Amino acid sequence: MTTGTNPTATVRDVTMRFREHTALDSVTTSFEKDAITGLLGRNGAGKTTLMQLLTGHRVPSAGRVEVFGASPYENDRILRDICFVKEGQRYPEQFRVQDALAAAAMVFPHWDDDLAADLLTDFDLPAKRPVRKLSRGMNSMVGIIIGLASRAPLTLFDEPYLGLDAVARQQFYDRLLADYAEHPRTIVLSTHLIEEIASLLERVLLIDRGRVLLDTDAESLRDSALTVSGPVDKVQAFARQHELLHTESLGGHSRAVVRVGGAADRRAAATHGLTVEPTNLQQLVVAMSLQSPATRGPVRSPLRAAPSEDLEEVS
Amino acid sequence: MNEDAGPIFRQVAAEIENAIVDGSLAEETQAPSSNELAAFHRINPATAAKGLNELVTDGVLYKRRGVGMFVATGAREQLLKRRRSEFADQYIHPLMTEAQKLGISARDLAAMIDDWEGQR
Amino acid sequence: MNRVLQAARLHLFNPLVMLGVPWLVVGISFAINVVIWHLTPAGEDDGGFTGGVLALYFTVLVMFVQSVTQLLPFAMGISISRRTFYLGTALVVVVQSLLYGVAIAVLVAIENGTGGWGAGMSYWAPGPFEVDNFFLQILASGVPMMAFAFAGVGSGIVHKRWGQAGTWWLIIVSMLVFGGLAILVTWLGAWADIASWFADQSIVTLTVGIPAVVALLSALVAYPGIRRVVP
Repeated sequence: MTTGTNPTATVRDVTMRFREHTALDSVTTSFEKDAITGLLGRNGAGKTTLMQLLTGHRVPSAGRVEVFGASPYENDRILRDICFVKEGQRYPEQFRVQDALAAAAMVFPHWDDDLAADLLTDFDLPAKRPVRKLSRGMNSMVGIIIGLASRAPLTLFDEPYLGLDAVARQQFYDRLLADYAEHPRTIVLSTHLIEEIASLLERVLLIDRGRVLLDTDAESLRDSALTVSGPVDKVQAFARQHELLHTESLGGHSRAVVRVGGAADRRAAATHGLTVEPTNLQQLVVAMSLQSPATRGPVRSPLRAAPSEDLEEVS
Repeated sequence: MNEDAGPIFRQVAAEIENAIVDGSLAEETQAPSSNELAAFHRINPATAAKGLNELVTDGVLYKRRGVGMFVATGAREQLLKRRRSEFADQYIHPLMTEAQKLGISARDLAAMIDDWEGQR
Repeated sequence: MNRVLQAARLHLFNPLVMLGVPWLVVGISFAINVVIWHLTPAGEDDGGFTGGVLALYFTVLVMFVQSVTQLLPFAMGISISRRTFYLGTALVVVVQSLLYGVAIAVLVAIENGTGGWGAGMSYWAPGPFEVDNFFLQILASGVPMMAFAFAGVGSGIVHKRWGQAGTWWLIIVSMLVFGGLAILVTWLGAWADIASWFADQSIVTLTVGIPAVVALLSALVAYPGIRRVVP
């Protein structure tokens, strides 16, 4: 839970090209040891591709991926400590729920049988039913049980909630948090339901069109943007001094999401006579993803304001 | 915790401060652990720990090795002192801004406050 | 447990399906044959045999196609590498083929002891596949099984790697290659030469050697295919 000096995984200048498009474009990042990282971004942003690279399911077209200090591709020594729960995982036709769990128990060295049994009861899953006869949501539950009970030092969940109702999702988040608190490990969670998981995250990695937009800790991110509203001219005047992410106007009234440096900026906005509200992760992520890529340079630090010349090009 | 209200660790710290100020968390009693806070508020344990650590830095809490965090003696007095000093900034400033907008003078305000006191 | 053994173990989670289906299929084929041979005088002719046992070989092939297409995505989902999955599968192929070889050798012994199930029927090791030594019979029946199983594994990998289109291409290309060879041989008028070449080979070469080469080739060709499968 401290700032790790030795990240669990590092991605260095990784590009992943497919025949028709580039899924990842020179991505460099790392995944802090024993932190929960939210992997956020729109559909097709490259989240799944990044996870496939981290789990050795794909090899990058260029660049280097390292997990626990070595390439995960076809590396059993590394792979046994990785658990990848992906959206719509397929299970063998004849496997019952208990077969899938028994297989996972066999291959993951840190597997916890009691936890798996508890989760099975929590989710009310029929152990003897063939997985193929489960509903979509129940199918997702099998993956979630494997992901949690594996206690793998690197566990990746790729939108694991397909078909899960709000109650089951809450159970998942609570279980994840409780087990993580007892057994800290590196967790990567990709999701569209940002609001639901925002408070679980320690780190945020936002990618868009294969590039990293944000790579920072969640708390400083919450501190790094404000939603200011008030008369158009005042909002514009304030926005001009900071990095404007998104703005909307109605009559003479305007609202803007801006990135700011700290408490001083907050007070400055207040003295401008503007209404100042914190911006939550979801709003910030949406605002950043909506920016046109042409006007956007690589973002290195959430605390650094971009030059104000950019302002005119931003709509 | 409120995801729309800025950094969560500050909210965690503020909530514990509130409990100390209103007396529900007495001095020299044990504060909740980061895992307890994490489970209760459904937040990341690291975030909860950050909130607690901020209070340790401020001298409001102190660590007992292997046991946990405890409320320091004099913490309540310290918090009250700080909150009083912040009172003007946090409450008078917005009050005056709004009053000015509405054309209410400081004298009128004082009268309104006297009125409010009398009605209680 | 060793990682390769774990991968092999995946194949045996439902032994009833894995082992039951092929034997059920061949059992039915066998029963039908026994009934027919008892009803008709076919068995009177010396050396009469049936190819019914091929049902077992083809069912095993299909089972391994399915094993790969079904198990590989799951195996990779629980962090087993492709190579390890392949080695585990190969282990299952080899062990299972030899066990099937033993079973067939026993059945052949019974067949010979009962005068061809009382009907002069040669079912379990038709024609040249019958050898007069129990241990050699294990190989003569088991090694061709291995060739079929590896062909199944290879086809399954083609399906996972290149999808449905890949499977069709595999079928089309095989037909063109073998059809082309047949045309070539016919055009050269070389059928007699080939027949005599086969006749010159020993039983062991025919029943063990050639199938072993086929098995090994399928195994070697399949391996590079699995290396870039994305589940």
